[in-house]
Amino acid sequence: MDTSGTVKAGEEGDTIPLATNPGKLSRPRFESFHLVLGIGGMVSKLSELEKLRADENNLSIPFLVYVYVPFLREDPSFYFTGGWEMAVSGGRTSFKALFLYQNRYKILMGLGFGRSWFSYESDDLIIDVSQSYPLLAIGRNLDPQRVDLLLTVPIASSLQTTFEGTSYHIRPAGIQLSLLVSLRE
Amino acid sequence: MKNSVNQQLKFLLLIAVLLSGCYSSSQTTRFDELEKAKEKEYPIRALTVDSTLYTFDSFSFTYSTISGEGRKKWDNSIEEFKGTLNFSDIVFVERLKSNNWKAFWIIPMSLAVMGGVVQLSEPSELYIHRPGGSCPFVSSYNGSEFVMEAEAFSTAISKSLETQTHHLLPSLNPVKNELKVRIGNQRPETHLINDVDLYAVDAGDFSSLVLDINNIRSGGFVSYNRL
Repeated sequence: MDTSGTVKAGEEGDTIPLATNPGKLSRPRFESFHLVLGIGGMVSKLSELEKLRADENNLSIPFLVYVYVPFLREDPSFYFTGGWEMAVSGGRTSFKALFLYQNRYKILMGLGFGRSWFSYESDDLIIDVSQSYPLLAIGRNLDPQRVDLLLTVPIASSLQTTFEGTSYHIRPAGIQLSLLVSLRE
Repeated sequence: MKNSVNQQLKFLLLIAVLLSGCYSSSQTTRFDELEKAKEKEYPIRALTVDSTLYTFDSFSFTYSTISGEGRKKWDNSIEEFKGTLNFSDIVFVERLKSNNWKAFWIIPMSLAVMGGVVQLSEPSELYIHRPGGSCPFVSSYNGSEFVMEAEAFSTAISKSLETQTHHLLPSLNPVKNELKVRIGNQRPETHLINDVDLYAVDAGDFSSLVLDINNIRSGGFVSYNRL
């Protein structure tokens, strides 16, 4: 060991003797924005389109690409997360912007806004739906600063239109359960 | 106006992102990681138990302390710092380095999020319609069934767009001295047809009838009679 106290790489005592964390300050204090990827399951209201032989069911599986921007990086934390979602089945896209608070028990809660699009096109039918709505969100941090489970609930009523004498009530937005994985280093 | 605002917002966001730089942080818990950061001259950030954040632009360290120059931030105050901290007073240490991956995605992702935020203000819409430019279809009876021969005209949504077209009915065959032609509206649309004329064309046995480039019959070498 260097008697002067200067440490050389590879010497004994590899772990830095840091203090314990009495204030429960967490690492997100240091972090800046990063990408978040996820997958979800959304229940919307499109089944009335079966009357038009547009074979659409209410369940979709969207893939999520979000960005994470922290405002308060301590524990508890407060941050913005939002981005785009695209369903596997195609024709369904959403954008969500959420402000989330995570308490010391790793419970997530927050508010936000969203907009969902649904489009369908066949030889004899074209359907275009888009809807903006406020959102409620609640969830749980499963792995510290890495994996979140998030439930988003849109506050939105169905859109209504009459086409060829038949009334249709459609809501492209729906309750969604998402598993989010942060790509932070 | 809205497009102009969107462009300005995107431009401001782009400038903000470029000015902020694209750094990522890695938690540092081992001396060899600290030594590597020192060799590569990465800045170090340390958070002490009293929630003061130190950023060292240059530093050295021993087993128990870290010394250097940089900035000190607590609450909303920032000031220059030069001194020594005990590791026993530090909760976290992280090293900063430029991140090419972040530089790659941050600008397009920021623009995508900004575009989405702008979209949130758009009104909700529900629009169901049939594709335009269809019908009426003209079919002729060939003796056993109707065969579709032509689509009479496409979209003509106003009086000024009225048009006249001609079509050949090569499948049309008389049955008991009757010719049957059907004009069908296949889709739930409304069409206004002023008149329909059926012409018989005298042509040689080995000649073929065609319509000219203006979609009218070539009358220079055949004769025809209105039925």
